Amino acid sequence: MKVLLRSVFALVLAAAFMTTAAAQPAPTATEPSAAAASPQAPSLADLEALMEEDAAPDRPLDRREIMDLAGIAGFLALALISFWRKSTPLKYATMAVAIVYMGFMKGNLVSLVHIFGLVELSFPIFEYNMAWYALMIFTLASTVLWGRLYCGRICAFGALTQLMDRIIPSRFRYELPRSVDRKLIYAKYAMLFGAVGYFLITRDNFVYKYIEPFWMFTLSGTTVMWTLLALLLLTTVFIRNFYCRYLCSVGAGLGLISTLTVFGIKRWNQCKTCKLCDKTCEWGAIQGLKISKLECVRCDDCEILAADHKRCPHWLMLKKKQRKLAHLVHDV
Amino acid sequence: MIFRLRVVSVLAALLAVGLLAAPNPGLAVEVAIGEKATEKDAFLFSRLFHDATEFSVKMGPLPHYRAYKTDAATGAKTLLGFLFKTHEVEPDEWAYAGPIETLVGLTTAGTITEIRILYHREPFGSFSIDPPEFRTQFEGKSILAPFEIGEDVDAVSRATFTVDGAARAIKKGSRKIMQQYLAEQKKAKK
Repeated sequence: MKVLLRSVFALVLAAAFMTTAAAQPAPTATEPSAAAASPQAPSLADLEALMEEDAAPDRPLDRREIMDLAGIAGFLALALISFWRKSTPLKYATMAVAIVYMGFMKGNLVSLVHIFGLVELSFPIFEYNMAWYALMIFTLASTVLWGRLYCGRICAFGALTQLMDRIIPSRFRYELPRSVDRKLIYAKYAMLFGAVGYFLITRDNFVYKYIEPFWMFTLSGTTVMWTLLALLLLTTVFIRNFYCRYLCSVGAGLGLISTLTVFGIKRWNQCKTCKLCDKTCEWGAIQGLKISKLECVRCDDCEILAADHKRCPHWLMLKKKQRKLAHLVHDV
Repeated sequence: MIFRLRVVSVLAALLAVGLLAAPNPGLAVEVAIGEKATEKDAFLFSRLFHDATEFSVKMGPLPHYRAYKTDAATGAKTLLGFLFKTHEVEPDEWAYAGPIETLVGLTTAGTITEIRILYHREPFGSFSIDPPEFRTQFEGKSILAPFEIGEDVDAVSRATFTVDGAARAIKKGSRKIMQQYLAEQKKAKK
């Protein structure tokens, strides 16, 4: 079963790379338009009519914009359904779509650039960037409502490293000692504040290229950038979700927002002593009763476990009690 | 609770710093109307109008320069066209992370000679508007053309916002400059 799953993921990833390689924009030389040949200047009336059209407030969405909006709406719906139903197959499907569609096809990821934009309150024009706004609003709203849902299944890079973790045999995996892990998680806040500080001083937003790997979905980078990416992915082979857990400044920002989370994960009393979820959590977010909102990406793993009547001690103990009670009743 | 307060105060502080520093993009030194173009600009002007022998000072009300050709034999000066920077004419046309500052050459017949991207902060600009394929597609384009991405302007997937923003600024800016010129001529005739 596991082998089958792994090969399926490998296929999905391979397909993703292939579609993007095929979708590379071929630089085409366009012919000058027919109108260029005519030396006659446009009439003032024609020009003004066109300009009025440009400025019309109720400009209808064009086909491309509608497709983009439909695409992102469909994807976000899939993500929410997978989250609400706590369905693992649907979660992996969401991740695959995130990599292929959101990543390689659209390059639509929340990035440091957007945090810079937020800091200086500069935003793209709503009218022309609705799909982008849909993603941003969803990300902020879902983070306030549930936590870092974005990191867990919307982000194309996060999805990529999580699927990598499913494909790579677990014998390669190296878990950092808890003490080191607890210290390293603060590195991402240093990245965030360092980058924002650098930006405020220099106003250079291209620094994102060297501290964020999301540009990889555009398949265009310098040798230095590709080398850094290769190093990062190599590290990810051994330490899973390395970038997301320790280095991602967007994740750090969302983590700060997620401290306001409205609907947290419910825990049982028994969680105080049981270590099952602690070990299951890929993100090192659980310690006994407490789940660190800063680290949790709402991956569903512990929630599925906590609802499992055959594995979660809460249910097992309940069953035991019921059986005892039944015995007593029977004896009487 | 205390932690939340701390988080909120950090976010608020960040926002305050950003606001204080906000009116920023003063990147290039802009020439005032009535003054000569900088040397760097003048060099680009001759690239956009190969035949031009003379360029005007910056003119208004919509900021632009004019390219002239002087006939060596007769000494007659003819107006070839206009040069303008999109962010000076259409400062609100943004793509993703700000205006894409583009120099546009426009003939009196309403066609674009060439364009040059001067500056942008687009995260995906390196493969969408930076390659020469982007600018060459505007050579000889009529300002009456639709400028639709995927139709008469090449769509670069994963960066449609950027390409869209750049094309929009070129289209709207060119039309405005042309309108200004045509209106001026109409007035002169009267």
